[in-house]
Amino acid sequence: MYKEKLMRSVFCGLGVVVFLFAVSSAAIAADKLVLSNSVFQEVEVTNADGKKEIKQVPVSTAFPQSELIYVITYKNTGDKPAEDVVINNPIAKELVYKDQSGKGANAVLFVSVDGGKNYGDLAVLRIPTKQGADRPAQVTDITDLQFKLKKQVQPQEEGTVSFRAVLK
Amino acid sequence: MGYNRLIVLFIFFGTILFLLDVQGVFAEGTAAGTSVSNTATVTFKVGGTPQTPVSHVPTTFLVDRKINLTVAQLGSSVTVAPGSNDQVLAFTVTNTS
Repeated sequence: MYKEKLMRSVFCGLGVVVFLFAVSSAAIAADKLVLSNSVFQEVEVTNADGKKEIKQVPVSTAFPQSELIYVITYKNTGDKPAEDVVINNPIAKELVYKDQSGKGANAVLFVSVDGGKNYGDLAVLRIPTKQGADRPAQVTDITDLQFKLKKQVQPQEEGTVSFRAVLK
Repeated sequence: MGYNRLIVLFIFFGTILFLLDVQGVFAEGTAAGTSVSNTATVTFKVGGTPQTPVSHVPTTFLVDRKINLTVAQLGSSVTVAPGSNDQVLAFTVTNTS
């Protein structure tokens, strides 16, 4: 009888712990950063005054050798500030990153030439050669971009980072 | 090695080099119809606790086919007798892109 009671209270206790855990993870999940991404191309259009201007239009198809602009938007939909925010963006194998094009307010850009294993400034990264040595990495070696935000993202705050790439 | 055998070897390797070159021409530029996808992922902390990384729905576009045609008449002018039918003017159409 005593044993049965003990077992019952242990099970009840376990149930409460599982419930609390579920509630707390739901609360953590609510502290969220949301990402969205758009791709644009620049086209020359003639405005109402007859002047030519460059406009960014969304892309659904593109020709080889054309330049594309990727804009990544982040937004803190939670109710607490988000810290140590890092946005990683692998470059598609059909694209070549355009040098110096990675930008973003309060963002510092690092690049990877080994598929995202190591990030750093392009100037210090090296590529192993078949002869067992290595050579300085070039823009065309870049495989991944990493934007590190210098500031916290406050609740409901949003911002963008962007880069350009050329279709091979 | 006989002289004839040397010529055969030259032709063999010449053909291979030619084929590689032709392939190089086709390999220029991403093939039309290719879907190019991009996905970014964000990692962050809240109150010092690392959160589950978040990605967005991949952004994609399709590689278009560029067409730049040149049309050239084959041969010089064609003489046609009055009243005759089914006379042919030949042209070549080339996609130069």
